[in-house]
This record gives sequence, C-alpha cells and structure tokens, in this order.
Amino acid sequence: MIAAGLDPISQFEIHKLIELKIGKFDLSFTNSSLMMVVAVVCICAWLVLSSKRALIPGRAQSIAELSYEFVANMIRSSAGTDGLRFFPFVFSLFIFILFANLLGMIPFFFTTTSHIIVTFTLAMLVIGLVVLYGVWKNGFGFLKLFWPSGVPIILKVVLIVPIEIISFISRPISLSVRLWANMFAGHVLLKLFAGFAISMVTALGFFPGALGAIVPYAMTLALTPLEFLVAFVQAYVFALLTCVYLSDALHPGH
Amino acid sequence: MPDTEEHMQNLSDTERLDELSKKLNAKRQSLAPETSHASNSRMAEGFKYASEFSAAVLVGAALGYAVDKGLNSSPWGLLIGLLLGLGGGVINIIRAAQETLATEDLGQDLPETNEE
Repeated sequence: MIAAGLDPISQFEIHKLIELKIGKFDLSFTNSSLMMVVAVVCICAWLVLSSKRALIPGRAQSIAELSYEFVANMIRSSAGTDGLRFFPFVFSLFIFILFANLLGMIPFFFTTTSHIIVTFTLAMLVIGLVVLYGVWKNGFGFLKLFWPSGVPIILKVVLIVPIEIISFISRPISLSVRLWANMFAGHVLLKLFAGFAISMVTALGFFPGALGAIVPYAMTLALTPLEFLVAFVQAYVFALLTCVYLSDALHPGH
Repeated sequence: MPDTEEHMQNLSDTERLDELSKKLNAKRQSLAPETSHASNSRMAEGFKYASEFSAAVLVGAALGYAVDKGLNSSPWGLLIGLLLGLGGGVINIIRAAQETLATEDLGQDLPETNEE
C-alpha cells in the first residue's frame, strides 16, 4: 500500500471515470479530462466573477486586468501590433496551461500537462493555426519562410531548404516536449524526494528515520517553490513561442 | 523645454501637432512593454535548448527513415536525414539564443526617449 503510494510514476496513471465508446474510439471521461474541466471551470469562474468592471478594481479584477496586459504586451513585443488579432487564442492557451500546471501542484491532483499527448495537441493547434493563417494570408508567399534570400541557389536547394523544413517540423515537437518534460520531471522529482522522507521513517523507525529524512524533506521544501516557478515559466514560454511562430505567419520572409 | 502654453500658442497648427505627437511618442516608448526574462530559471533555459536541438535531430532522422521506407534506399536516407537534422538543431539553437538575446538587451545604453 505504502510502496504503491511511493511509486513516483503512478501519479501519472489515467483512470477512466465514465466509460464511453463511440465506434472504434475510446472517448472515456478520464481523470485527465476531469482536471481539464476543473481548469476551465476555474478560469471561467475567475474571469466571470471578476468582470464587475469596477473603476477601482478589486483583487480578482486587477489580477484579470494584469494578465490581460501581460499577454497583450507579450504579443505586441514579439508578433507586432497586428498580432493582437490572435489575442483570444494566445490568452486562452496561456491561461489554460497556467491553470493546468498550477492545479497539478495541489497534492493528489492530476497534472494534465504531464502527458505528452496533451501538450502535443496544444502545440499542433498552434502550428496548425500558423500554417493555415500563413497560407490564407500570404498564399505561396508563406513558403518564403523556407526560402531565405542571399544564399547561392544550389546551396539553398541542397542544404538550406531541407534544414529549414526540418526546423519547422521540429517546432511542435520541441514546443510540446519542453512543457511535458518540465512538468513530468518536476512531479517525479517532488514525489521521489517526498517518498524518500517517508521510506526513511518506515525503514529506520521514528527517531533515526526522522533524522535521515531531514535532507530529502529539505529538498522537497526547496523544490516546491521551484515547481511553482516552472509552472508559470513554462506557460509563459509556451505562449511566447506561440507569438513568435504567429509572427512568422503574419510576416514571413523574416 | 519649450513646452509652455505660450510657446505652444505661437506655433502653427502643424508644428503644434508635430510637437504633440513627438511628446506622445516619447510617452508611448516609455510605456512600451519591457519583456521580463528575469524570472526565467536557468533550468528552463537548458530545457529550451535541449528540446530545440533534440527535436530537430529526431525529425530529421524520422524523415530520413520514412524516405528509406518509401524508396528502399536504406541506409542513405537515414544518414542524410540525421545530418540535416543536426544542422536544423544547430539552427534552432541559434534562433532560440537570438530570441533570448533580443529580449534581454544586454549591454545597451539607456533607451533614448526623445527621438523620432
């Protein structure tokens, strides 16, 4: 029982809460889906309840306004002012990832973003939007992204274009792997050190065990704020890179 | 600074407009967003470069492997794809580093406020 609780990987297991099968597809409602719903409900509650539009904002409203400013400035500085048409997209993405990460920090809560398929879906959403919007707005001009100027044509065809294409395809992968790896590694580390402290006590008895548990406990204590920081920074990085990629779609050819 | 009411009144409309828009621009620049990378932890930085590089290598190798499967040209597709992937990884890292440098403005003078 305790050994199962100490396993650092078991926290990522998916449990089906409501079975649902449509054709060949398994659309069961899992604990991961539950946490996504919780995140969305929290976000909606926060934004709806805080939008009283008081002239002197209360706490919730000023946090909402700050996050609006934060995301808007991020878009302006990395995708230009015309990137602001993507504000709803970037804002939802940022806030959703932030809430999913932060909710995962609550003990016994599942972290949705610690599954690569979730982060990969989010990344594909971004890249899909970049490609669709880029082609819709620029037509074939979007392909200038792979066709830099000022390079001899032979070199371009043989070397640069394949490399640029690989670099472009690698974007959703690096985007999703980064978020997933950070969340996954962070939670494994936390669980590992906290588990050490517990197994010290169970293995050595109360007094010597508690003495031995000081070091892993201190590590847990130090890692927890770091994980909160990572939760924020990764949501920020994801949103920032989304802006950078969107700026490619808005103005290709650098 | 010649921005007293009296001075403003002596100017023609266009001059006044220029003056005002200059002021407005200066104000805008001082309000421009300062991108804060300060909270970015070093571990996140490391993860960034690691994922940028490895993703490109993986994609290159996978594309090469797919070409091999399609054209029965094993092992050349995988080899060339891997090499191109390495190149793509280096490019990714350079771009990521450039983005970081651009937002951190290292070694720059204080922003000039009163310039067109």
